[in-house]
Amino acid sequence: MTDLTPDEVRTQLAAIGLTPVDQDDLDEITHRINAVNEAVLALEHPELDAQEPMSVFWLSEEGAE
Amino acid sequence: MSVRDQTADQLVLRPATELSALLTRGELSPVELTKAFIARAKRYAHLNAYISLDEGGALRQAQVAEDEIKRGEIRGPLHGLPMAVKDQFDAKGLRTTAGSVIVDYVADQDATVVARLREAGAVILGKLNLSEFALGGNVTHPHGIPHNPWDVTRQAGQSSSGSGIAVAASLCAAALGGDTAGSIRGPAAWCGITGLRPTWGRVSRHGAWPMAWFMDTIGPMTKTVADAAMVFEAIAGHDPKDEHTSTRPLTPFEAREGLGGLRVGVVRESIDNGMTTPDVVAGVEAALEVLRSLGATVLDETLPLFEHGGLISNGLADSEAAQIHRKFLRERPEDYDFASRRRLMAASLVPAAAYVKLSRFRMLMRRDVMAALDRVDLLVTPAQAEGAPKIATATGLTSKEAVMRQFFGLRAHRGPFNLSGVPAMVLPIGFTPADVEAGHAGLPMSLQVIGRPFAENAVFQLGHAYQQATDWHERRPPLD
Repeated sequence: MTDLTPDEVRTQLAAIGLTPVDQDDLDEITHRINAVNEAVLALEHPELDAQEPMSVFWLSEEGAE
Repeated sequence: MSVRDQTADQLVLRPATELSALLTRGELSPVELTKAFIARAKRYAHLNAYISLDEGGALRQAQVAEDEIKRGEIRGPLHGLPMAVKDQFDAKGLRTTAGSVIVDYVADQDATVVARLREAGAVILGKLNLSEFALGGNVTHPHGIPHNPWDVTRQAGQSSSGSGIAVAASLCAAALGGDTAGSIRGPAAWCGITGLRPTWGRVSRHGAWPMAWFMDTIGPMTKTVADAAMVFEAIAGHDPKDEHTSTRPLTPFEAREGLGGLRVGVVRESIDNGMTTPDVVAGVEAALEVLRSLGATVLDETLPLFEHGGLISNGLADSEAAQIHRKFLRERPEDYDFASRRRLMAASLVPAAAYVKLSRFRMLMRRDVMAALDRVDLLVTPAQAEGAPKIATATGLTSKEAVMRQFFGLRAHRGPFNLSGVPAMVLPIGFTPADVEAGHAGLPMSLQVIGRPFAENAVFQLGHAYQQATDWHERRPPLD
């Protein structure tokens, strides 16, 4: 995969109405989003496709204790 | 000296359950006890535990409690007990800041947890410091840097830092904290106290500033497990104002002798990982020996996705937080701590595909945790990889790799359990060795105990039995 550049991150932020305060902001935001993207892309599990992304609600379950 | 011979100034060091017994028997004045905690909170104000100390209001509440107790109108075990709450929760008539400079208002109603404390007769001393908006990870602190009472150069944990400090330093009898991804358990562990993250849906979140809806919980931070059970029972239960609270009835905790018949699973990935320091590993092994001596069967357990808990937890929680903060981020970005702002802006860019993938991994994590809790009654892990670190002055996130090291991987001991919505409690199990070069006389180490959904009482049982057999929870930081 290819990392986002600071300019690309600035453009994406602008598209949702956000503006980094300074260059240090932009650099760290870039590191952070690139880290998440790379780490999430690397996650693999043989049963992933069988999982539905539901929230965890215990409220309808019986007798868990 | 017996407890009955001690003054209020001396009694503030005792567990809340002991104070409760004295208060409800009329052997200790709520007013005198409240005065003693207020004096202590002022004396140790440099720890920055409190954002707002409500001296006048607390004394008025204490006087009401004293009058009621004298008339024999005992509301319950919290009657007359001076407590404090994280400034993430509204308390009528008191200022709410959520640890920020962006929010600052006087609440016109109580959060449900605060209302329940008041109904139980507790005296609300004030509002406690926290990381900005309960996010954790901020570097600047508009309401003062929270200092760890065991070593004031070190962090008190995030985000319920003020709650951890106030209980450890005896600036209140007990406190409430909030835990999304470790915000009760982290400060409790680093400050050497007991902290419970309840089952998600057990305690109402109404009137609390959200951090991430799907994982936010509110729980007790206390000196002992018995204290935690006492406070938990006052705040737990269905609330029509929070539609996601359970209607399941609450069973009061009743301690039994020992741990005979209990199967305890040690999550090996939390220990055999090269990241948890040898001191912490040794502390956990010693704690396991105590559990065995009490009759528990200690078994090895495995959570294959353990190392991804930090990534999944942070990735999901930060994405939700970014939505919660979208308006403030657009309109007042410069008013955030720089680390919070960078974190939230980055999380604003997490692709929907990544959020869905992490949500699916969350289900896999939950499945693994529930399977392990089918094989054993409780799971245990270290609560943290190491003792409290030095107070940070920068994020240090100068590369993608630095971000990965700090937030993902095997240092995240708490993520798998907030992802799974199960109850998890930390309790002190000793101290790291003194380190003259590092400038401390030993830092608290803690064990995390994890139970099945709504099985808080099983978690309490293990912790209470452990504390009956040890005295780590009796240690107090040397403040003077």
